[in-house]
Amino acid sequence: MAAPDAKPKLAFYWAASCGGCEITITELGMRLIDVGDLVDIVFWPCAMDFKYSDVEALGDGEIDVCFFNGAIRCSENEHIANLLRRKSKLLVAFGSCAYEGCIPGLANLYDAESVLERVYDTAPSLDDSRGTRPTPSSQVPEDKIEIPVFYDRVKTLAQTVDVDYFMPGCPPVVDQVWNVFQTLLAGELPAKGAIIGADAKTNCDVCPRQKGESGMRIKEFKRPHEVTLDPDVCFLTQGILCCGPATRAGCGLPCINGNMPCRGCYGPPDGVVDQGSKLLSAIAALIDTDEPEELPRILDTIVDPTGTFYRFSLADSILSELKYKRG
Amino acid sequence: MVDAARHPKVDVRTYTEVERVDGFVGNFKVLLREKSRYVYEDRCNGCGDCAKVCPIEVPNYFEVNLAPRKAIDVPMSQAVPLVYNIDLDACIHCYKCVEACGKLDAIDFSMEDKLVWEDVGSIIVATGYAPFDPSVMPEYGYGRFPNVVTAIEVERLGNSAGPTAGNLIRPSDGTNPRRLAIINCVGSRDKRFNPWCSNFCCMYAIKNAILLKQAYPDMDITIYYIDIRTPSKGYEEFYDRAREMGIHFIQGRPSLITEDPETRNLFVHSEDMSLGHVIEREYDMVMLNQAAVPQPDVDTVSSVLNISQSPGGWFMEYHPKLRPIDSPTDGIFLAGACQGVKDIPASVAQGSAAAARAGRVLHAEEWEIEPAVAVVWEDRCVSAKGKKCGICAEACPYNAIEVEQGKAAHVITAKCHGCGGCVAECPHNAISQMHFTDAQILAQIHALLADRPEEKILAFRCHWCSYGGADLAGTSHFEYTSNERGLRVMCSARMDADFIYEAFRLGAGAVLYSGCHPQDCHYITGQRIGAHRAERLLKQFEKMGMTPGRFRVEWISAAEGDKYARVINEMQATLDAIPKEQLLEEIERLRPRMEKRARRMREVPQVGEALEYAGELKAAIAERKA
Amino acid sequence: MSHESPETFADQVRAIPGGEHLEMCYSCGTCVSKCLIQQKVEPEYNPRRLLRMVMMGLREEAFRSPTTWLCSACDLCYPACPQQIHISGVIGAVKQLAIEAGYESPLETVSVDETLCSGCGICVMACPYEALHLVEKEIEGEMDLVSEVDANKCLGCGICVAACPLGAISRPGISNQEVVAQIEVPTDGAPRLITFVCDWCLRADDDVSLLESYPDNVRVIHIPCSGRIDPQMALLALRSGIDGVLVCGCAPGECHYKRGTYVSSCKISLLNRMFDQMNVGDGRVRFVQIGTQDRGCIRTEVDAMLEYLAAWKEAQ
Repeated sequence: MAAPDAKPKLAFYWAASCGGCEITITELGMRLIDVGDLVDIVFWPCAMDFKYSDVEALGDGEIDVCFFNGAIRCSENEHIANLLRRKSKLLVAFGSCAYEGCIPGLANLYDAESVLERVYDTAPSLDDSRGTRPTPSSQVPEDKIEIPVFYDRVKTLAQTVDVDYFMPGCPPVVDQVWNVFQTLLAGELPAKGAIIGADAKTNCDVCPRQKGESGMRIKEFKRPHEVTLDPDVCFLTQGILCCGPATRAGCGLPCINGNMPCRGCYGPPDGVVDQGSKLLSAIAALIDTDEPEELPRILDTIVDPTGTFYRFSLADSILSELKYKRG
Repeated sequence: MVDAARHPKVDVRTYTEVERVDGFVGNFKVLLREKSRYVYEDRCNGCGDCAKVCPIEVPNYFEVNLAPRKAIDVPMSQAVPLVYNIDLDACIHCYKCVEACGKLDAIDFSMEDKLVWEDVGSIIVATGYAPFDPSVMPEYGYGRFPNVVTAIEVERLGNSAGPTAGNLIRPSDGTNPRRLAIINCVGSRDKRFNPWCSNFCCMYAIKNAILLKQAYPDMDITIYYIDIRTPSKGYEEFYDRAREMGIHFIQGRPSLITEDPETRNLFVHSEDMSLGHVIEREYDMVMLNQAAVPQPDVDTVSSVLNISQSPGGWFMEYHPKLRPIDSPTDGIFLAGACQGVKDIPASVAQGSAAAARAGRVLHAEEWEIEPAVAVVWEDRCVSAKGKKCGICAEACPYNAIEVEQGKAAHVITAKCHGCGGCVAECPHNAISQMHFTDAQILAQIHALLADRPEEKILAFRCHWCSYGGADLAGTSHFEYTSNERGLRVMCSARMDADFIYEAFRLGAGAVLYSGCHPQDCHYITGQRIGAHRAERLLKQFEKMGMTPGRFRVEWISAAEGDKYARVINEMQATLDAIPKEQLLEEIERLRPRMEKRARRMREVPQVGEALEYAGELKAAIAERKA
Repeated sequence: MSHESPETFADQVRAIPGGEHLEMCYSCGTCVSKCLIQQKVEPEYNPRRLLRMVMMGLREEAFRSPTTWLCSACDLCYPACPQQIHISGVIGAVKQLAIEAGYESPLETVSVDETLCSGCGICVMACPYEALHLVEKEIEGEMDLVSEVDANKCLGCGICVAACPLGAISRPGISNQEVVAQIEVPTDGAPRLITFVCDWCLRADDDVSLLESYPDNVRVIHIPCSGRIDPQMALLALRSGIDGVLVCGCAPGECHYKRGTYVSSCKISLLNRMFDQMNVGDGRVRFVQIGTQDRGCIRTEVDAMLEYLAAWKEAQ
């Protein structure tokens, strides 16, 4: 992929995200040193001292692979996304935020003003009566200050620029990261638009838990803190809403092995457009009652359906599209 | 009705309810509530001037609420006597009627109900039936679709004295229906509501169809039926006539009626059995030929008159084949549909028969009853000693026992039917039953268990049901173990707990306690008394540690010979499953407790002698065997 | 000659739980006209006659009868039967004997793409007929837990097709691709409505033809059961420019496939809850349950929806 005389150039960037993806890379540990021998890291603001101007100074397409994590939340994110796209041969949406919006994407439940109001006014930890709000442009004695514009909508990377590969996970698990590095460095490039660092099927394919005698018949959805969870039995059998059936496998089941249900961070499996509605369709088939009056009561036990079914994929969902298409 | 009212020896009391009946055959005392009409019967001449001026209209029950009536009105134009009455719930006290009545001065708002006692020799119950309310069957949409009407509604709409003067119209728009469907068996032959065939509706549907076809020759009339039942004289010929007139008959019970929301026309969905196809036919009007059901107040009537009900709520006759007109209470007779659905000829026949049966009572100087009645040992009754008791009176299904503190309980022999419930219930053994005395029964128990009692199954059978069941098992050659020993009493109510204790004291292997199914009891509530006692015994024996199945309670009808044989064989199997030593050990272990419980039996007059005799019998058997 | 009476066909049917009350039938035909199968699918379908065949010992005829295989045990007839015979139970007993005798269901059933199946078992739970089970099988050289269809039990309702999170189950005519392909945006400017209508909720032929008689702006997509609806389809339709989606299913307790209408009601209700959360909840996706007696109600529902959508467009 790189010229024989030069090491391939790598870039990492962190947009609207929590930093977990960066930690995953550092979790490569000693293997990171091997990576350092094999590649040139030209941009990694989280770990090394780079300025945007360093990137701007590069030629178009000079970066071989850019791993971009984080959603597009503000004008700065968008600007850098465009910049890195221009400078990179391959742009990888790294981690759930860049891929499908992830937790930051849940902000699409609200408009920008409601978010700011919550953060600057009504959050219980605040004690500020000044009504402070970030202003994109303000004059101070020394200079005029411009800060990035906070958008109304959280977008995925692919909704902003053209993306070559998607690597799901919140964060992607470290072994998958290592596999991806090796694959890409070996020059074994999958087809454009591929999901990398994950499997084709869903978590149920690899989950060792048993369905139990009566199976997954749900008369009430429970939350993990409300029950003592049996580590050997399917969460759905126990009435816990598990996103495993509609979530791509590849994570190695850290949540499920930790006796917590799958929350869906690896995104939809092949062939599914909209993870949340597909999960909803599957879960609804498990609701077990013949009493029409019972249904609302059972559905009421799904606290926050959007946040549950679309916990990681709301920004990338048709639901979000419908909302923002209306303007 | 008019003839009856005019007859010098017939006293017609309308608008009157029976509140209480005391006494017994030939000597009833009846308390009547003559409800206040607020109009004097002897002054009102039925002119109707009051109704003309009355400003209040209320639904007219007689016209199935298809027309109004006034707050002062007659229930129907042929009412006997033709006296107006005021519906005080609706009246606004404008007193226009009083003004209109004028000099007749027949209206009096201060009038009150009158309570009168009458002495009568016999009573005939002829309270009839009520039409089934089809609104509980959602599939036919009655109450929801205006053009789905009941047979009674069609009856009024087609009647020249009815609200439309005989013009059959659709409730939705007042037009004459061109296509009419009649659906039979609405609520009858239907286990969800009433399992019985309502007897007259096939003929009734045909009658209505013929009358309407005569009045509206162009009307397309279809009768949907499951089976057409025309069993009486001339009925099949009548059915033929309807077919000749072009009335359609479709064999197939409609499952559903739907309505076109715009035209209000109805679609009847059914299978046409002859074609084997589902058909959906459009009609302008649908008549539901509803079932006949017991009157809503049958329970009150049966408790006032102390007569029982067959399943479903029809009044029960003394015997379905041999005494179909007598109620279980002597001197009370049944006529017409209140005893079971029947058509007009059958009702008339039963009415005439009831009159004749009632006449027998009125003409008799003396009245014969069954001899197995209860008698009180007055010296043993604690009530005579001033104690409060009355358990016997509570047990009596016929109110035949009077208890007054300070006096011994008194059995009104004419009312006693001889179930023996009081005898078994009396905690002081102070009542005996003729022909079924404690002494007699105990002697039988001793005799039946004289030899190897641990191998025996002693079966207490009631005369009317389980005894008949055992009999049927025999005549039908249903085999059962020869270790069974049957003992007949009149009713399970007579199966004294002491008999059971005594049987087990004597070492009986097993005891069967059997009688009628609850609804079949010949003595109204006798079985209930027996069942209650049996339940208590079951619990006691369980507590004592008796092997389950050694005491068994079963309700077996006279038709269940197979069940009788099966139960006895199962009991034999239970006994066979207990090792002999274990059984003997259990009998010995429980004997003192049984003895303690059955001890007081011996104080009863004649019991000592009876047991002495039984002892002799036992010795004789032993000698013979030796 | 032996005096022992051999076990008759009727005895065999009665011995199977559900078949007990066979002989109570007095042939009134209520079950035949309550059921929609004869009217909509198979003229030879007749439960009353099947019961009669069993009573008369016509074993082969009964096994070959479409009634044996087409009954979906919706139990519309059971509460209406005046003799309280659990008719679907009797039919089920006949079917069991037919299967034991080697007969096979003539119905088109769903099939599982085993290479896609993850063995999550959602379909097993979704199926109203216990027609799907998980089995250990060798798939592409590896042992894997996958779902397997019992072709004699499947009635092809498609509830599992909608429930499968991987799109691994399909049936010709109602596969995801085939249904989605029918979501076309009419070019007409009037409110554009897609109506997913289950095959059973419209009893009267009048109602079915009425629905077809609407102009182009009302597209009708027929699905076997409202339980086949996948909320993703409603979302795709809205995204493609459809103004509203109306899903019609059977009334509670009357669903031809027992539970489809409940499943569908849950899906649409949850979808609308999410619309509300996203503040896009404006009643453009509706679920109506049409009862056996609601003749003409489809017109009312579609007209009301069109009127609503017209007003909604106006407000946009």
